[in-house]
This record gives sequence, C-alpha cells and structure tokens, in this order.
Amino acid sequence: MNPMTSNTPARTALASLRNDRTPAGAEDFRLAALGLLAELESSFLASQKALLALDAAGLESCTGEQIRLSELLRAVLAQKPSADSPQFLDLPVAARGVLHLTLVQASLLRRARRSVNLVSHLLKGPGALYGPLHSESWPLPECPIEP
Amino acid sequence: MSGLNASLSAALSGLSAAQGALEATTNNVANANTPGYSRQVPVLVSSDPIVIDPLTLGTGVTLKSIESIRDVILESRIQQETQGQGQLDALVSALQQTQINFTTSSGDIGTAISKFFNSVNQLSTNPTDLSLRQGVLTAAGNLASAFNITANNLSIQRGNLDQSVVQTVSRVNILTQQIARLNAQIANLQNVGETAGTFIDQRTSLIDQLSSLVDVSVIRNENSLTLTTSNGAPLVAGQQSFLLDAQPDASGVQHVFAQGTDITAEIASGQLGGLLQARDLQIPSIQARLDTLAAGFANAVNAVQTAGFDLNGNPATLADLFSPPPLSGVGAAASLSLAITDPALLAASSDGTVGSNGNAEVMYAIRNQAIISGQSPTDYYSGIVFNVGNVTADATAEQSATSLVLRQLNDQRSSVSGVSLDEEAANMVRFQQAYAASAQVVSTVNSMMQTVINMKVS
Repeated sequence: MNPMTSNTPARTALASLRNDRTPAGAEDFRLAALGLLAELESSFLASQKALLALDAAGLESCTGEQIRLSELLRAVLAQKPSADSPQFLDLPVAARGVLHLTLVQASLLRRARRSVNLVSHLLKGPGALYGPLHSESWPLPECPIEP
Repeated sequence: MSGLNASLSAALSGLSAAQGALEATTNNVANANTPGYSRQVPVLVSSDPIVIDPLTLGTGVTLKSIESIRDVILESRIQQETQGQGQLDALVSALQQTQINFTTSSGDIGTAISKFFNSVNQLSTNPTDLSLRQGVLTAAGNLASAFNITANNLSIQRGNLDQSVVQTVSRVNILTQQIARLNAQIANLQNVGETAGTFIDQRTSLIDQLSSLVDVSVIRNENSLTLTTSNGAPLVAGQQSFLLDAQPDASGVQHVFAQGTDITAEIASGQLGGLLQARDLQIPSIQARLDTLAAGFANAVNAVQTAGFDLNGNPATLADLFSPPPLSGVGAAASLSLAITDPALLAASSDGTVGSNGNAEVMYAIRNQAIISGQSPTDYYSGIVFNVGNVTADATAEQSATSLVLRQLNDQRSSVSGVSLDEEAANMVRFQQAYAASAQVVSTVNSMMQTVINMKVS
C-alpha cells in the first residue's frame, strides 16, 4: 500500500509540502508532523495489543506501518521551516508520547523474545543448553524448529 | 421392598447432591464481585453400583467435593509480574522525586553555573567595579547553595527511602505470618478430606500482596506451601513464618536480614527491590556525579583565582573562592561554600596591575574547558540531567509494559476463575430441576410404597 494514497490530514499536508516548490508553510509543517505523530501513536497502541495477543501477523502489519510513518516523518522534519519557531512547541510533547510508546513496545518485545527463547529451549528437548538466555543481545539464536 | 428402598435412597442422594451443587452456585453468585475469589464447581460422581445377578443397579449420586477453579501457572505468572510492578512502582516514584531536583528553574545548578560565568564575564569588562565583584560573589554563593540544596534533597530522599525499607519489611512480616496461619487452616481441612477453597483464595490474595513487596518463590507441597525469596531465604514453610529483620549498618543505612544473613543486595524485585535500587544504586550514582562536578568546578575556579591578583594588587595565593572540596570528592556538593566574603579579594588581575582583567577572562574560559571527566561543567551537568531523565523514562516505560501484561494476565485469570453470572443462572436452573425431579421420584416411590402397604392379602 502506498501510504501517500491515504487521504489523512497529515498526508495531505505532506503532499502539499512535497508538491509546493515554494518554502513550506509553518502551519503545513506543524500539521503534517503532528498528524504523523498521532498516527504513529495509534499504530504503536495497536501493535501493543497485537503483541499481547501474540498476534504475529498483526504485529508485522503494525511494524510495517510504523516504518512507513517514520520515513514520512523524517521527510517532513527535513522540511522544517525554521529552527526555533515558538509555534512548534506542541511537537516535542507529541514526540515524547511516541517515544514513551516505543520504549513500552521495546519492553514488550523483550518479554516476548524471552518467551520465544523458553519455547525454543523446550522444543530442543534434552539436548537444550540452559545457559543465559540470548534475550539481551542481537542476533536471535537460530530457531531449532525445522520449517 | 428392597427395590423400592434402593430407589428411595438413590432419589435422596439426588436431592442431597442437587442441594449441595446449588449451595456452590449460591456461593459463586454471592462472591461474584469478591476480589481474588475463584469460582467453585460441584464434583458429582456416580455412587458405587450394587450387583444383583444378573443386574448391576445404580445407587444414585454423590457430591464428592466442591472444587475451586484456578490455574496455578497463571497465578505464578501473575505473582511474578506483580513483583516486577511493585519494584517499578517504587523505583519510578523515587526517580520522579529525584528528577524534580534537575528540572530547569531559576535555582537549579545548570542555571546557577551559567549565571556565575555571566557574572565573571561582566566583571572582566570593568574589573575594579565593586558592585560587579559583589555580583560574582553572589553568583558563586548561589551556585554553592544550588549544589547544597540538591545534595541535601537527595540525602533526605535516601533517608525517606530508608524508612520505607523498614516499613516494607514490617508489612512483609505481617503477610508471611498471615500466610502461615492460613497454611495451617488449609492443611487441617485437607487432612480430613474437606475442601479449603476459600482459604486457598485468601492465601493466593495474600501471596499476590506479598509479591508486590518482595521477590517471592512459591513451592507447592501436597497440602501446604513454602515461600522463599528468590535467593532462597525462607519466608514461610508450612505453618511457620520466618521474619525478615531491618537493622542499620554503621552509617545508619537499613539492611534487610533473613535468619541473620544480610540479603539486602539480593532483593531484586517487589517494592523492597525498587526501594533498595533507588536508595543504593540510582541516588548514590547521581550523588557521586554531583560531587565530581562540584569538586571539579571548585578546584578549577580556585586554581585560577589563586593564580591571580586581587583588587589591591596582592597575590591571591591563599584566597580560594570556594572552600577546598574534600580530596576524595565525596560530599563536595553538600559542603560547597564560599571561602571569601570580601569582593576586593577576587583575583581579576593576572599581573597585579589595577584594571587588569586577564585572570577574570581565564576564569570565564573555564566555561568551555573540559575540566570534569573530559567535559565542560555545563555539558557534565547536562549529562547528569539527561541520565536522570533517561533512567526515569526507561523505568516508566517498563512500568507501563508490566501494567499491560499484568492486566492481561488478570483478565485471563478472571476468565478461568471468575464468576459468570449467566453461567451461574443456568446452573441454578439445572440444579433446581434436578432437585425437583429427585423430589418427584421420592413422591412416586412413596406412593408405590403406600400401594404395597395397602395391599390386602386375600
């Protein structure tokens, strides 16, 4: 799905930013960034639910959406009109909310990885080595389950 | 006649079983909103049949027991998450209080450092101006106060956490004693074949509460239960509870003892774990960095001050601006103070000539010099603020994640052990009908007996 085809205020504002050859208006920039941050927030809340429900497909879909949204956000932030405009004060607040949700997501993912490691050890049977779990460092150990 | 008696007996067993089952349903409905209650189900079994060759005849039904529905693994996971939540609640609460000291305000250390350097910069424009000299002393005094207040607040907070440790240990002891008493009641009931569902529910609820205070491992025996801390210190063994003890060390800091062994460093989760983590790791780490900043700053400023000349052209060799911090640096922030009160003693001159501002400029240059662990004073302070914010944000996120998981686990427990009023209503109708049907059988058998009794032998 092309994220630019969805007709949300943020994407409309982003499209106008991209199509307009003149420097982006401050209000356009603010609307686009706030809209994308709000969408990211919703997406993270949805992926938390998916993670808790062990819905791998839902989680993957949300993660894909988050990658697309963060790319869009990066594109919008690259067109920031001025550095210290006071009308952007609401952006850091929204960004902090998203940052908090990313940290919560990371914590939930760490827990899920611990569970996966446990199952992996169990499936390995008597040959399993019950050393420290590999949950704190990438990459994940090779999955013992044959496809 | 023996056939009719057997039928009567079977019908009576049906009446009795239906009545018992209805009592379980009644209890479920009554406890629908009781926290921690596990729904009860009647276990009905067919009574042993009698064999009258060639027939095998049933003898009715027996209410074998009333069992509480619970998932032990789920309960264990809830207790584990509860420990994590207790730890994070205490830690986040402590960190949020710590963070207040580092929020930007007119009196915070970062602002006071900037004001000090601004006053030195102003002095360099007119080094003989007494009011500008006084301004430097005032800014230096304010900076020392900012360090003192922050260090003092952190010490007070550590003291408060220390008191909380004592209170938490006391609450742990109350709970372990209650659990031991319940263990005794449960064992007594189970030893005589009675069900102890209500007491087990109460014990589960108490273990949940205990889990929020300290890391607990649960070992289930046949009729009893043993609780230890995660490092193996006993808390409850069957009907006996083992008290934890809080005792101060030589510096007055409370340590937790189990059976005479200091287990303070091994308590990792539960509220006690969070309190200890804040008291022994997070706050001391901030205090140490604050001391490093205060000592590094005072030494750097003193070195420049003592290398210059005062307003009267005298060398300021013995006129430190700040009282020299302790050599180890420990306690530097709390004890930082001004060493001079006479503005004329400020060494703005680098060569002793009146009007020279060379030394004031050197002092101002400290602002951007890497004098503390390879960083300028402002950058080092920003690092402390960032670190406090970062640790708080991480702990808060972890707390949110734990709450989400715990809520989900509690929902799962409710679906397994909770009372569904719809299901209970259906059960009530079912048992009522069973009771009515058994009563009808009794009535019919009674009528048949009357028929037999009234038979006339011709």
